[in-house]
Amino acid sequence: MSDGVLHAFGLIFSADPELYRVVARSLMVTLCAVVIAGALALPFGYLLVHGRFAGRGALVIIIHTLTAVPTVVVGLVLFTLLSRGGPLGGLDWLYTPAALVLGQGLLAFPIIATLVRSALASMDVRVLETARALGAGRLRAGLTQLSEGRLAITAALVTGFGRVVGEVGCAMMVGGNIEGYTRTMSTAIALESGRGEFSFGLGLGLVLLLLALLVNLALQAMQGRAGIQGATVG
Amino acid sequence: MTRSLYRIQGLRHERAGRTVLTVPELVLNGPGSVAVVGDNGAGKTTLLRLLSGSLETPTSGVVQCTIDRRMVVLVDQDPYLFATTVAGNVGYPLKVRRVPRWERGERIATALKAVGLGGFERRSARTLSGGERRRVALARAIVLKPKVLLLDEPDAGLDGDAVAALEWLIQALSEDCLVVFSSHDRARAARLAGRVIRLGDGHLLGGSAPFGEGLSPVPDSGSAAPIVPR
Repeated sequence: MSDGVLHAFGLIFSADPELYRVVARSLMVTLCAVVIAGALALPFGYLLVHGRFAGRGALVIIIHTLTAVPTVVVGLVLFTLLSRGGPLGGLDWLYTPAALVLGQGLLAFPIIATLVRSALASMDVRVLETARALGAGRLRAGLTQLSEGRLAITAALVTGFGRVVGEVGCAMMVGGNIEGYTRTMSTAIALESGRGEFSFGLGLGLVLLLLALLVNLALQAMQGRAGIQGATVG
Repeated sequence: MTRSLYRIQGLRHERAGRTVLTVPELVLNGPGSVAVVGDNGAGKTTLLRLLSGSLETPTSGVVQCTIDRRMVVLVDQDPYLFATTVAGNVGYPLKVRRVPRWERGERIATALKAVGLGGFERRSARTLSGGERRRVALARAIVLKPKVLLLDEPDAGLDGDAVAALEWLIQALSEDCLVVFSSHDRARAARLAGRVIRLGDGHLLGGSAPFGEGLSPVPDSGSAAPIVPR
């Protein structure tokens, strides 16, 4: 075990090309997924708080429920949709990075939307009132509220990132774990561990942990700076 | 020149099924200063919010305003400051109105000086004291050069010097603008305002009209436009 850990550190500090290729691909896929999911979840979360339409309550419950769906179930549904005979088979996305992004995006969307909704719902009601009283239209006032909640929204994005960067089920089913193409950190860990190559898996696990640490440190720094300094209001 | 800015007729406003304000008729002319006095729960804040036009609309009746609603600004009793710098807060309404950046800086500095906070531009709004926050909110309102300035208990939480400065500012502003402020302090209201409106338990009890605007009858105002949120 200790030999495995030492070897894992060796792989990290020797900048093992295969290890860093997998890390880079994972980061790229997850970042794309979170950016796309975030861009959709932000207005969606805002609508869930301020929208006046029938079925809003039901939609909130559905989105909350989707945060708990096992990743392998999302993978299975997506696999069915993207497979050759499926309704999205014509896209030819199965076992491609696009399928990975789609899968991770679907997993991240309900998480980010739920957290954004909670953040906006718990915000001071005077934010919107003040913006409106100062002449902002509905859109501008909404953007101001999102800007005021930027820390909570960033935390939502970071949480979404953290939840999907290490998921295995969906990535394995729709990505296929193809070396040099759709192999991500989590699928590589699963594969290498299955082969008995614990040091490579451990090295990737350590990188994942390090990433989580860095992201959380960045978030803490942002929160600390926001307490003493201002930022631009939208 | 004094002109009719507001005309209220048959106003009744409910909140959670309870009538919180009833004003049969009221006309407000400007420029000048009007004090709204009354105890807690008398309806002072509700009247100011209805006059603002952007925050509440009456349950029934009409609140007509003869000027562009964007020239009406309300400063809350407990104002919210955005999580940005003092300049960011004061400049917000200018940014919303697409005032050029070069002009914004100058107007922000002038407004801050007027409330005694010259040089506070780069300070974070979140680090200010209660009194300073209220003054920033006031600067954020006057930076627009509004036609109507609504101040909800502007003297609350201010110390002696700040109150004197506020009184001076209200008097200076009321030369070009209609300043409507609520207050518990009847003596201050009588000293500062050209007219005092008394509210009690959600009803208009009366008001003096030293500069010519009576509570009734309501004069004709063909250009009056109803206040509706944008």
